[in-house]
Parts: sequence; structure tokens; C-alpha cells
Amino acid sequence: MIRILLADDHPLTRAGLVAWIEGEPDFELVAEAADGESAWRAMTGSPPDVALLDIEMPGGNGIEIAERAARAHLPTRVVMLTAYRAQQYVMASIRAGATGFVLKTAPFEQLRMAVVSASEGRFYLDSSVSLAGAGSVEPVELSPREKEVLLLTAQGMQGHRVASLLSITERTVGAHLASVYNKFGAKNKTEAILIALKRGIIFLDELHIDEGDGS
Amino acid sequence: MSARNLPRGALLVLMLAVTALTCATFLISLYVFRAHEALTDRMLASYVQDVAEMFAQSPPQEPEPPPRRMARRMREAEGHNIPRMRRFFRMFAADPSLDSGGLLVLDSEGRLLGGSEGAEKLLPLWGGGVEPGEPVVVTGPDGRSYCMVVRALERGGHVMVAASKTSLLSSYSKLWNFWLFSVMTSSAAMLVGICALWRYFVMPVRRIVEAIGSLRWGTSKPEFERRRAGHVPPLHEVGALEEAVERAAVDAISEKSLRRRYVSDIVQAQEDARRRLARELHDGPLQSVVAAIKRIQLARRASPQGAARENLDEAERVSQYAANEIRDYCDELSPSWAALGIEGALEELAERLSMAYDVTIRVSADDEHGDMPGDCALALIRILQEAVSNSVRHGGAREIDVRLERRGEGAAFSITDNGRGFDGDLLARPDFERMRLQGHRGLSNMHERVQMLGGELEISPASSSPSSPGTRISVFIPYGEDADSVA
Repeated sequence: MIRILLADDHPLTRAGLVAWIEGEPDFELVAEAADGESAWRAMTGSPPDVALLDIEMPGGNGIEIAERAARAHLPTRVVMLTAYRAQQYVMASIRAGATGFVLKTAPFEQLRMAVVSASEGRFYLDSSVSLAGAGSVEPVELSPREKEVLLLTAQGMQGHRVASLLSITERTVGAHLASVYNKFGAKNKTEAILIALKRGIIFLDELHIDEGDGS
Repeated sequence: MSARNLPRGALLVLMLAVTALTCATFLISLYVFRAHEALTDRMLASYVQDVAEMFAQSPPQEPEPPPRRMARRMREAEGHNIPRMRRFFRMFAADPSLDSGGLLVLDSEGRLLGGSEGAEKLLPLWGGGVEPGEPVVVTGPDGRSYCMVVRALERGGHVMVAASKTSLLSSYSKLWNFWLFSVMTSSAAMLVGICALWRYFVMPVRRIVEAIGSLRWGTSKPEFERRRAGHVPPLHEVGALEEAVERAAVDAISEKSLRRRYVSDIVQAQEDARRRLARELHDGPLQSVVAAIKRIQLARRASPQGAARENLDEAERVSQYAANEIRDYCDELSPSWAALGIEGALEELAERLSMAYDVTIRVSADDEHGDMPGDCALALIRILQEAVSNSVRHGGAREIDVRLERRGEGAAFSITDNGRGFDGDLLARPDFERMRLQGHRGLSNMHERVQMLGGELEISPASSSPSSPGTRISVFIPYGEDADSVA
């Protein structure tokens, strides 16, 4: 049984999702919330296994709640549930400690996979969040240095700090990233990080929250 | 004779000409003064010589009965034609009291035999040892300088003639000197006047003209050096001119800032309206469509076959399409992800724009913009939207490079495309007002937005290739703690 918290401020959407969760034999809906604060209270009361959080909610958005949960070391795995399809929300969710990102419009099979993956601690990213290189199945090998640079960048570290940490120049950092983009067919940093996550080249656990800035 | 027709340096030439003429007058007067001095000295010398000569050559005459007082001496001086000598001497001075000089007759032992009235005062000039010959200049007992000549007489003894220039030529000399002095003084005064005019009027006016020339109306105030140091220009008119220019500049600044606030309000109101509309779309129609999708999905599970299933599939497809459309509207109206950091927002937007217009957009942004204020980030996003739309629609560009980097106290943002570029005329003198009138409203809007944030926008060709010059839009927007000194 996977115990689930559902937080969404829109009653019609919430009703639809509730009907789905109740129809799944191995899911149990333990709490419903219409805003950030009540979602947080439900999470701290008796922590569910998986929290499906809407990003845009009154009283603290989903990303803030996910961040708070990660700081409080709650056992709950957070899956972001949103109507937006922006890579930036995916990155923000991941940095906030979310384990999954799924669109509200996705078929129930995908929602189910997101919840199940999250309950097992695996990262899940909705397939309709566009990723140029994600469709390719060719294996990609990153050099240890490239992986290192990508990971530090994914943790939200600025270019010059990555450079000084690895004792290389900022230009070399840029060159390593460019090489990664090229191998992944990615157009930018966010895409490269998401592809690396999706392919299991880097793992969610490695992306601890950057306390300095939330960018 | 319009002043407009005078060449540029006319004032300088005029001043120099007047100065040169005045200097010449002064120098000529100085020369004439000195030449006149020498001339009068020579005249005086020849005069005393002539008198002595005439006296020496005049034949002796029968004496008139001398006045009793001089009887003894006159007797001794018999044969020396004393009365004629006296008459002769009247010519020395119109006013004998002026003591202009005199004629003395001395015997071979140097004793005074006679002379003109009061001439005995000049006896010390003789001093007992002056040789006959050329006129000499000596200082008399009264301290004045005399021109003196001594000549030996055929009948024995000497005649001595002395004349003081200052007394003899007194009135003539005074008049002449006075005239010369007036000329010199007036030319000197004129020189001083020209200098003063130059220093206190022409130079300040030139500085004001320079200050106005380099002034950016509506942005800066003119800086008048003297006023800044707390000094007021000595000429009232110059001070008034400076004040008038300053007032005009201040007016221009306040007018511009008023206009900027007005534009800023409009932009703000527009952004607010778009944000509100996006939020309503997101919270209302989008959520309803999402709820509908969920219901359709639930219904589809319950009836997995037949015509109903087909209808439900179609209903979900249409609803998904509607949801996507509403999302796109929301993003175009007011991208909510813009608040999650400018670097990511630019990447996100570039990704969407490249799909929408089917072009390649490369974004390279450094990650030093954590403190960028929201209005600045929004401006960059709007500029990117506008620029990409322009590049593709007007320039036919296929590749666009976007760059954002921290530069000093602000952000340097550039968008470079490989399109047809702008016509040279527009770039040589970018007039955003004209662009607006010609329908390049996008560029003019970008410019407005950047100006509103105290930044600068520049449009230039991206390369020197004439066939596909491309366009580069470079923007600098100041922000941060030290950058808020923006008008």
C-alpha cells in the first residue's frame, strides 16, 4: 500500500485525481489539501509515503513545501503535479528535493508510474516535458571530469566556483559543459542535467539542496 | 550684413585685429614720444648755440643809460651790448618768471659782466671751467637740467647761454606730452578692456556653448565650473545665461523623467494586466480543462471498447490540445517561470521560441545574476521575445545567439542573428521615434523598456558581410546596490 497525500487548490481537478487514486488498488489516499499550509500540516502529522503537490497553490507553493520537507528530513517523497510544462519548474522542483515531476494532464498510467517510482526513490520526469536529446537511446559516456562539472553545475554552483573547486579555468568548465551538451544533444544546461538524471548518469541523491541561493 | 554670414572665427579675428591695432598705436606713440624727446633736445641744443653765435657776431652798440642799480657793472661791461642782449633774451620766455634760462657774459677771468634778467642764478653752471664748444647738458643749482653752450668772444671773455627744456618748452611740451599720454592710456585701457571682454564674456559664453553642445538633454545638468565651486560669474549677463541654460536642462530632465514614469506606468499596467489574465486563464479555464481530462480518463477506463471509447479518446485529444493552447497563452502573456532565475528563464524561452519559429537559438548566460530585480529580468525576456520575432519575420534569420553576462554593475545582454539586417540609414542614426512611425514598433518598445531601467540599447550589424549582415542588439541594464543612481 502506498499512502498518498494530494494537494491541489482546484476542486474539480482534485476530485478527478481523488477518483483515480481511490480506483488504484495499491494506493491509499490519506489526506487531501487545497493549499500549501494544510498540505504541510498533513505531511508533518503522519507523513505519507508520497505527496502529490501542485506547484501553484495559495499559502505556500509546492516547491516551497518540498524544500521544507527535505530540510525537515521527512520520509515523504514529493512528486510535483503541475499544469505547467516548463523545464525551469522541473529544475526548481529537483533542487527543492522533489523525486518526480508529472503533468496533471498526463494519462493515469504515467501518474501511476510517477507515484510508484517516487515511492521506490526513483526519479520520474514526465515524458512530455520536451527534451531534445531524451528520445535517443544511444549510450552516452561522460568523462569523469565532465560528470564532475555537470554534477556541480546541477547542484546550482556558479561557473567560477566550479572552476576554483576543481582548480581549472572557467573557460575549461565551459568547454566541459559544451562537450556534455554535444554528447546529449542538449541545447542548454537545464536540458543536459535533466537528460543526465533521466538516464541515470547522475542521481537525485547527489543533488542536495543548495542552501545559498535557490536559482 | 546678417551676423549669420560671418565666418566661424570672426569674433576671434575681430578681437585680434583690434588688439593688434591698439598695440601698434601704443608702440608708435611710445616711439614718437621718444623721438620727440630727442628732437626737442636737439632743437634746444641748436637754439642755445644759435643764440650764443648771434650774440658773438652782433656789432657793439651805443649803450643806453643803464638803470642806476646796475651802473657799476654796466660800465664794466661796456662794449658788450648789454641792452640788445636783454631784448634778445625776451624771446627765451613769454613769462620771465618761468626762469627758463639765460645768457651770461663773462670776462676772460670768468667774472660776470652782465646777462639777462635773473641770469646770475645760472652762474654756478659755469663753475669756472667749462670749455667753449658743443652744447652740453648739465644740472643746474635748482636741480633742473639745462642745455648749455659756451662760446669765446672775439673781444675777449665768453658768452654762456643755458636753457632749461622743461621751462622753456613748458606749455608746448605739456600739451604734446598730454596728447601722447592720452593716446597711450586709451590704447592701454583698450587692451585691458579687450582682455577683460575675452576673459569675462567671450570665454564664459564659449564654455556655456560647449556645455550645451555636450549636454544630454533630459539626462544631465550642465556643469559650469565657477558656479560649481561656489563662484558666480563676474558678469551678470553671463550668470543669467548660465542660470537660464541650467533651468532649461532641469526642465528637460523633469520632463523626461515624467515621460519615463508615464511610460513605466503604462508598461507596468500592461504587465499587470497580462499577469492577471494569465493567472485567470491558469486558475480558471486551464484547471477546468484539466479536470475534464481527468474525468474523460476515468470514463475511458470504465468503457474500454466501442464507439464510446473512440469518442472519449477524441474528447481527451481535443481537451489536451485545449490545455496546451491555454498553457501557451499563459506563457506568452506572463511567463510564471521567469521568477525562477533569469538564466533558466532565457533558456526556457529560447527553447520555446526556437520551436515556435523553427530556428536555432543558442543561449549562453553566466550565472551571476542571482540579485537581478524582477523588472529587469522581465525586460530581458520581453526583449528576447521581440527580438526573435523581428529576426525571424523581418530578417529571415535561421540562427540566433543570445548572450547574458554580468558586466560591472549591471547585465550585458546581446542577441545576434544571421538575417538580412537593417538598412544602414536606420543604424547610422538610430532614431527610435522615427522607427516607431515607420512601424518598427518592436524596436522602439525595446528601447523604451531599456531606457525605463536606465540602460542603453544599441543596434548594429552582426558582421561585415554585405550579403547577410545580420543584426546585433546589445543592451546594458544597470542593477545592483551601486547602480540605483539612475535618473
